[in-house]
Amino acid sequence: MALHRRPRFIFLLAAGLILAGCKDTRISAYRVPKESRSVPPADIVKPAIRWQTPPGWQEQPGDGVRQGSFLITGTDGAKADVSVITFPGDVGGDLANVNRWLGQIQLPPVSEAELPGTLVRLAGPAGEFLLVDLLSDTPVLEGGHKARVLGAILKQPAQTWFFKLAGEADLVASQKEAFVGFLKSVEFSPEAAASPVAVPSRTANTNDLPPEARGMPAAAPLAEGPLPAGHPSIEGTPPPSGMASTPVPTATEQSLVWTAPAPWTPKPGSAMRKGSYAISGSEGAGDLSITAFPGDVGGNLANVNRWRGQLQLPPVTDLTGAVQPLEANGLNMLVFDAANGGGRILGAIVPRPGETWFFKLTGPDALVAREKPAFLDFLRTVKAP
Amino acid sequence: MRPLLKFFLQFFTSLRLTVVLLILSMILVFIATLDQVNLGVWAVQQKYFRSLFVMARLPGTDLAVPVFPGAYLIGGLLLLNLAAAHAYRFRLTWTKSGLWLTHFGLILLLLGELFTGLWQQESLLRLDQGATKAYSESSLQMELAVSDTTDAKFDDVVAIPLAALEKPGIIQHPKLPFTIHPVLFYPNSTLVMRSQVPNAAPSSADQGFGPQLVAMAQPITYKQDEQNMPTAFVELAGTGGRIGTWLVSTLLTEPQSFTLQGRTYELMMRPTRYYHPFSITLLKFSHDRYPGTDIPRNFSSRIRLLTPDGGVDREVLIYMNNPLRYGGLTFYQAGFEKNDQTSILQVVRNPSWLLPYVSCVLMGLGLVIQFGIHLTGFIRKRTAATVATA
Repeated sequence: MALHRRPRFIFLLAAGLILAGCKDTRISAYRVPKESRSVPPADIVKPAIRWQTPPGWQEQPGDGVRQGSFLITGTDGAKADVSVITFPGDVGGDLANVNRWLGQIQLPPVSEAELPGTLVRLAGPAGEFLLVDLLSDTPVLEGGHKARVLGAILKQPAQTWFFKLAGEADLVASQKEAFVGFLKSVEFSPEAAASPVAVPSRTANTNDLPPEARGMPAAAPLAEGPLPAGHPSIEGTPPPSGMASTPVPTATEQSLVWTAPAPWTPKPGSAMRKGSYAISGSEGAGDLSITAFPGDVGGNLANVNRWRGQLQLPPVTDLTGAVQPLEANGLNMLVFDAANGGGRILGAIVPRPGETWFFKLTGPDALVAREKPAFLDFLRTVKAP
Repeated sequence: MRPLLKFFLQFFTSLRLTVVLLILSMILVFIATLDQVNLGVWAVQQKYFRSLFVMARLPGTDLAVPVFPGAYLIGGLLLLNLAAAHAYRFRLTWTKSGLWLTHFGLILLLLGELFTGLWQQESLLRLDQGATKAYSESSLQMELAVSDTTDAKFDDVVAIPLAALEKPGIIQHPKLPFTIHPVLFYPNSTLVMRSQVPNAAPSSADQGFGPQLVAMAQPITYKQDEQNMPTAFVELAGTGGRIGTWLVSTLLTEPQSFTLQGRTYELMMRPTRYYHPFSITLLKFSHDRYPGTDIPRNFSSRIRLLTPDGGVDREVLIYMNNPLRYGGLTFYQAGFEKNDQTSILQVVRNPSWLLPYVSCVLMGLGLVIQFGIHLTGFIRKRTAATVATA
């Protein structure tokens, strides 16, 4: 009868169940091939590119698209333009890119078969460039000059770089050597890929999976804003490369809203800033930053002393006198106001469930003093939606 | 029969036990469902269903005591009850074959859940477009990876589960020329730049990124959309004495390296990795939307599956409800991030994934046979009765 075997069966079952309850604390060791550090997509990270500018090239302000921009002026007043641009992906491939340049100087496109004949390979520290030298058939430029384009394509895993020297044919020809030297001087700094970047990532989970740690908003030095004039830099110790954000208990949606006075100009925020305004006057320029951090960020005393420290004021041991309470829309704020050495910080600490908000106006003493009523009125507009 | 054996026999074969166990399991499911509000689905599974007993801490102490039978105990007893009742009561006859089959299917179902609990391993494979990986990562478990990165071609990794860091002790491994001493462990934490918190206590760490950071403990989260971010301070000691103390945290996304006896080591706290004997490259991730809306219609990942020997080299399209099954693993399209640049595949190893299907087929077949036998018997009787009255 099967009953005779039961004790053994029970034992096996119990052993299995107990094993199932055990926490795995085994240490494992293995050998893996070296992993290339993954390079984030191009539209997220701008690699730090470096080059040596040839003599005679005048640097021009970039326009957001251009990573580099130079103007070359010839002796006869002729002009040529150098641009450095990067785009994610391969931007349609070599043929499309060469034909785009051909079109710019009114030349007919080449076919796939003709393409290799137009390309010259050039090796440099940054990699292999594909170089084209294109001369217009007709005088397409003002003043009856022919146009010439020297273009170079540098392909990277996630993006393509375009270096282009374009302008009056004779001037471009005279600068060809300088352009090649310029290409050979191009380098990418290795730390670029590892530097922290602000990535407002979006995790859409179709299986209700927990979100992940790494892609959470962020990575940025936790600096709050410009320091008052004359303050020693606190940036001396850069944040550890790759330090991620402090993601967990922060509210993911904006948990406070406010109305800023009209004269304050909104500024583009950084990853850490929830809001950012420029306030200017005859006294100088002030900066209002609105930030939120998880937890109590060390407590009110630590936060007050941090601001005092930024003004080179000694720390206090007691909050009495250092801050004034302000109640607005059910929020209990602590208003901080201190000045030293011509600079002034007017701030408010607003504790929220699981996080702490900071409203901080820094600037010249006179400006901040003048803006104080507006700042307090502004604080009274802050509320939880 | 000896009285003790008789008692056991009566106890384990009784139908009352079955009823009590079924009621207990109903109560368990009910309480566990309510507790999901506090613990989230994963912790509830561990506490109520993948355990022999539901434990609760005695107030004011660290002592955990069993307060209710866990699903493993209830399921185990049900299994025993079913097997014993069968062995004792049922005879192996054709008329009972349907019942046998149904109950065998039920036993398989119970065993299947046990095996799933024991063997199933879930992880995530997060791939940027164009990237290749030969490992997936746990979404819940973390490890401290100590890698010897001296060689240009490979890394020797010693992976230490976080459970080993939770309490002070000595961690050693033959591959490491030093011992690791956990100093402090926060199951969930935040890191703030030290410059932001000037009054913070001095750091326990004196190496790596640690001295510049302040670690703050946070309450453990069980929420579905939040993740615990553990931080630990570990002291390393070699034959020559103390080497230093490092702060390691999943919030740090870059490893911290140091040199010892001419070899370079890296410390990194990261999601537990499971290496596979093949690699997967994400060729293209597609996120189709219904025209004119942001409503997702389809997510799909075109991947390249490659074994190191080149024996397998093929492209596969993974999309919703069309997973890739390979090497005992199933890859499901689970999500995406970074503006559609990254695809997330869920990787499931469950050697017993077929058991629920087999058991359902068996139970269905058993019921059909059993009712079929009854039906034919009934029809036969009815026909006989009609003939008799005619």
